[in-house]
Amino acid sequence: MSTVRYPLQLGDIARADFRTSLPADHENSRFQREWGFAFRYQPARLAISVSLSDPTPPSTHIEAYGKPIKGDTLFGQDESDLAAWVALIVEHSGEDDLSRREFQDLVAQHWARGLDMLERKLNKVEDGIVGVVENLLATHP
Amino acid sequence: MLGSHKNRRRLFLRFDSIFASATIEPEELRSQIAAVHDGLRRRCQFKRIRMSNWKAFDAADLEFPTTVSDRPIVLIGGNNGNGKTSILDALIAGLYGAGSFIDGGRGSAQASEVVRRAEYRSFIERAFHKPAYDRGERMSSVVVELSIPNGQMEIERRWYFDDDGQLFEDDEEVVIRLGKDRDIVAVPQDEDPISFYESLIASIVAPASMIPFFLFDGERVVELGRKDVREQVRIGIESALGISSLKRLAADLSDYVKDRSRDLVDEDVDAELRRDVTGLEDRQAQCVRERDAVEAEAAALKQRRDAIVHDMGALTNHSFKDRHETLEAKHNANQQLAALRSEMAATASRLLPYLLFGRPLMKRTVSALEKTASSRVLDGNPSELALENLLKALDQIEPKVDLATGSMIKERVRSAWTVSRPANVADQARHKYLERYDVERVIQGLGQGVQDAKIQLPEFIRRAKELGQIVKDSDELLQFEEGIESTRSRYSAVLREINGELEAVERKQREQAQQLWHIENELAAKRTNLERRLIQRRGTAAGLPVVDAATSLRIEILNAIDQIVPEYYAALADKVSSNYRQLAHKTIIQRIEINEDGSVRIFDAAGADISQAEASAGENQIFATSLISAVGGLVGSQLPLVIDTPLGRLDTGHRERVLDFFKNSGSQVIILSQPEEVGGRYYDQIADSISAEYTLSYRSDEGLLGSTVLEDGYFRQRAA
Repeated sequence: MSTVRYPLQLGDIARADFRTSLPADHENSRFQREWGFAFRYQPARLAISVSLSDPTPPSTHIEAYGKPIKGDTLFGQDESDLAAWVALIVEHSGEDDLSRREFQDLVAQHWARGLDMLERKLNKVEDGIVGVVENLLATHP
Repeated sequence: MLGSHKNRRRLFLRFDSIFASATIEPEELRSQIAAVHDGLRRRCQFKRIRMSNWKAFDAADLEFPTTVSDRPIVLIGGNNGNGKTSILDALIAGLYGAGSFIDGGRGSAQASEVVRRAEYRSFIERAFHKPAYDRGERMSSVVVELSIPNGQMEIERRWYFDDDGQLFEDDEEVVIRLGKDRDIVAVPQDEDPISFYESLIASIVAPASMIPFFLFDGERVVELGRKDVREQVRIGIESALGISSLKRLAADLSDYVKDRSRDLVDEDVDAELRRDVTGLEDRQAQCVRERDAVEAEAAALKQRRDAIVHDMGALTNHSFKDRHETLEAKHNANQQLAALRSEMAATASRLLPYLLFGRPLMKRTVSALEKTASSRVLDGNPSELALENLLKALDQIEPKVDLATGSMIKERVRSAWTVSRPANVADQARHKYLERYDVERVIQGLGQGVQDAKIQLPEFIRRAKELGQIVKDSDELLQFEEGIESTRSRYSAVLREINGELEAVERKQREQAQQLWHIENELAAKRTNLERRLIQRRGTAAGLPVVDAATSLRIEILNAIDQIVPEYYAALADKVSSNYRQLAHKTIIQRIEINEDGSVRIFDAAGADISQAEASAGENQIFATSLISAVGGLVGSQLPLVIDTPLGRLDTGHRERVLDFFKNSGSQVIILSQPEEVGGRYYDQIADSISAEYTLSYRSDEGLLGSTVLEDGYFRQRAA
């Protein structure tokens, strides 16, 4: 089975679906509920960005995927926002010439690892979103 | 002083003074009783009657000539409904007032005094002249003038009504004037005016119980002739003789003797009284002590109550309004907080990542992007042209090098250029997807994101904390107010308890006050009694004669009654028999007997008792007239007679005899008759005995209720 390699294109990313592992997706829903986020993409962004702070590449084994979020929803409707996210993820990977598929896998891995990191970091935080933000600000000045 | 006395104590004290001051000899007593009795034998005549707003009359003034003894008859004519009965009623009510219903036989026979008084009130209310009431007048009056042995007497009664036509309670005014100068008779101090006037009228004219024997309705008089009238006959006879007064006096004296003897006979009474007084004094002291204790208890309770009320007052500084405002503030803060959290979540998901990425990655990315941007500048100039320009520039640099050196330098530069190219290409390859994008803007966006995150997110936290504090403060305030509420309800419970106790204590106070009042009253009475007895004891010698004198008097009175009454009953029976024979043309009745209980027995010529036999209405009236005339005669045959419709039920023969009887009775006779009753030859029969004649005629007021006016002359004369 041959795999077609599509080079990374911002337009494709905006239209592409992004998912994480099924258990991570459940975790995402829980955070959304507990911290009072209106949308699924909101905890996802925090998770991905936290994971990006770890310079090691993520390596979660994913067997099944959760529900998708469109690229322009996950990274922002504004093109420069989207571009910034892609640039950060690509730069973190250290890879040249990533394909779209590889990029999606990376995002899935960061998303899952980030949720795990947030869970460890914030499981004792109270006061919902205020506590979360306060804690994250303190640890990421 | 022969009237009944309601106030026994005062009467007995009066007896004390009478019997202590003088010794009364039996002979003297007898003459005094005779004098009292003789006082009742007098000639009395109606002189004048004035009526105002009375029954059929607006105002009327009738004069009855009194001086002409051979013309004793006053004839007043009137058709049915023209006011004959109004005149009879005015004379009765004017003379006796409520007494006419209570003792005078006008009230219901079997009813109590209270009922008869009510009947009298209702009678007076009905007697108020209706058109006058409609005009707004609220007073009616009757003035009766009498000629009496010592001159004249005038009795005026006025009745006042309210707007509902009801007689004002006890608002009957009575004034009695005596003598030529019509001096008002003053009511002695401590006497009830109505009782006093009643006694005065009874002693001067006749008691109210005599009404049926001198002021009567010819139609109703028939009832007197019927069977069971013994009570009225007995009362009438006794009144006429003054015996009822004497019997009352004897009864009063008997009570007096019993009262005063008991005091004197029982030697232990004083000691017992003293014991009672001491016992009561002890109880009084005990009661006062208890009262003081209860008062102290009440004062303490009141003090506690006041303190709690004061504390409760202080609690009310936090009003319902304050609580409402606090709740409102909390609600607002919560709402703002919810909105802020939602906004914060959105902002945090947008800005927080810029901080979370970490500086190393940010720095690397920015640097990579900058390179991408600068390589794009190089791309803008064709590389070969740039190299050629560079090499040409090398030739211009002083001092010039030789050609071979120059060629070698150019070759090395060309090699270096080539070596430098792949690295740029590699940079470009990682972020090749940004080829057609404004990389500078992306770099700028990253910087801006970090900056915005650092400013906006702490501000959110600050605002959230601020609102959180408001909520927390409100909660504390509310909790405090709830605390006040619970304190207040605790106070209320205590207050209810205290008020309950206070109520019980106050009830006890009232009971004690009442008890004390009773004790004090009892004590006062006992002390007075004891004091009186001590005074009496000091003059023991005076005590017994009082009882003796009263007893003698009582015995003499009873003896006198025993002696007088049978004589009078026998004389009365003879008189009735004689009257009857004079009046009745059919003389079945031979002999009439009257017993002391008032029962009348009638015997025929054969000596058979025919009292129970049915008699005609006319025969009854003849018998009644005989009886009335005879009873009236007992008081000296000098009481005036006023008869309404006297001949109505009589046949021709009886009419003549009755009219003759009136003519010769020696008393003033006022006849209220219908036109045909005393007309034609009947009128002629008495014409020479008539001293005054009147006719009552009714004037209608344009279809409204009219009134009766009085005109001089009798029907026949006026017609002629």
